[in-house]
Amino acid sequence: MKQSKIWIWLLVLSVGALLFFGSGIRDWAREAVYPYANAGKWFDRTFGVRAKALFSRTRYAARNASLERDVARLQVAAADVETLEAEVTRLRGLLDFSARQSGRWVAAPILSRGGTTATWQSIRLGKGSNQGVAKGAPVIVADGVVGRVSDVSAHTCEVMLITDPNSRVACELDVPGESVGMVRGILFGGGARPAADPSLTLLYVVDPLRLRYLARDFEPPPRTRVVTSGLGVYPKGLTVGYLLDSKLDANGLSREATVMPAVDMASLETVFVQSAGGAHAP
Amino acid sequence: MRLDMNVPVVAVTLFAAAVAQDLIPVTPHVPVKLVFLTAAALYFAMTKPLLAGLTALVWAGALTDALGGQVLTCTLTFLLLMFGAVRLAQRVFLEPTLLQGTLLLAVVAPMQILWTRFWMETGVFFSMDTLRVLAASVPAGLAAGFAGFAVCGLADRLSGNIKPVKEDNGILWAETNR
Repeated sequence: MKQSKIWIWLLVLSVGALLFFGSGIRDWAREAVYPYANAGKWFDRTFGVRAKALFSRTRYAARNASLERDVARLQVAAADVETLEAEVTRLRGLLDFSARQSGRWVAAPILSRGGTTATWQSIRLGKGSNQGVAKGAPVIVADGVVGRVSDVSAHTCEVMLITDPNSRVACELDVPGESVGMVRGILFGGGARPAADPSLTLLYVVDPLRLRYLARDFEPPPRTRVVTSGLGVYPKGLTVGYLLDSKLDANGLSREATVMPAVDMASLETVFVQSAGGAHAP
Repeated sequence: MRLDMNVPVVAVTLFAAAVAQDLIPVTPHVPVKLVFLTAAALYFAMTKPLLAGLTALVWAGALTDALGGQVLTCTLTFLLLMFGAVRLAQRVFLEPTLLQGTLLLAVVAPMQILWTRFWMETGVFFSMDTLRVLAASVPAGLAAGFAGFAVCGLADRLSGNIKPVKEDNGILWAETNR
């Protein structure tokens, strides 16, 4: 009889928690899983990488040499940037010009892809509100835009990829040398399908995204770079993808283009997420 | 006060199932998640008293939806329907054995994917992708069912919730052959 009472209480508490603390349960679940996901990442970084290196020493030696060259080149570039930054600050001071709003980009490891159901195109990062990450913050890598933060807990955040069918990104075309002015549109996530080629260690093969509501009279050339317009949550000028082709939409009022994402979402390991405060670019 | 060992068994196995389901990624060969939480929920539905089974089911559904970015009642509703179906089927033929649990999950896993896609209106309900995912969910369900029922059964035996059946004279069936 006593044991039955325990289960009655547990059931009532469980249903009550579900009804009254819905979003709290999401945060709690993510935070509960976080230590194990983080431990897995640590194990991979500490032992997995070394184990791989044992089996492919030559490839890693070549890659190491290449990375050392890159580091040296970037150090020179960083020194130049520091000089330019100081000059810009000095000139802005002379002009009484306020600096543009900029956040700090923090590197975040990917802990989980798709959560427990893989229904949505989402990833979970190992950075959260404790690191200054807020809902809506953009997530990028060197190649371009990855997505934006859709939910945050203390140590983790969920990121909706730009390939998700629910994603919308305000974009414009980067057409140098053309006197067409700004060509803007809205990029719709095309969804994605599982990789067909088993040799690829990819999570998804991405279907082309759709860039809608472009000006109907300008036919953009293929491979035109599509960048963020700065009208949404994303800063202006980030590469989103490359245009494949375009055609007039069904009603003939605007043009619709297909866009291949610049970022290979499946091979991501670490991304950069914008956090509050600071002004350091990645 | 004596602790009901079903409580830690349910808590630990559900949490382990949630971690495994969340962290094991989909692959090109198996483009669906392994539904360990569903396996655990159905095991408890078949082996535990009504209230314990329902509590486990509530948490399994909540964890699936919370970590999957879904409406919190989506999987819970599905599991409630499965709970009723499994309990009814138990009166006729279904038993909580490893083999039947494995086969049960091979049937339930595709149904769960269809339910989730229908509920969440992902816009890709009628497509070749859906067919491919459904086809892949059968072996994934077999794997999840085998692992889920094996681990939950092991946890039950280790905790003393399940004891070997004794004959009237006190000799175990397993020992009669010696």
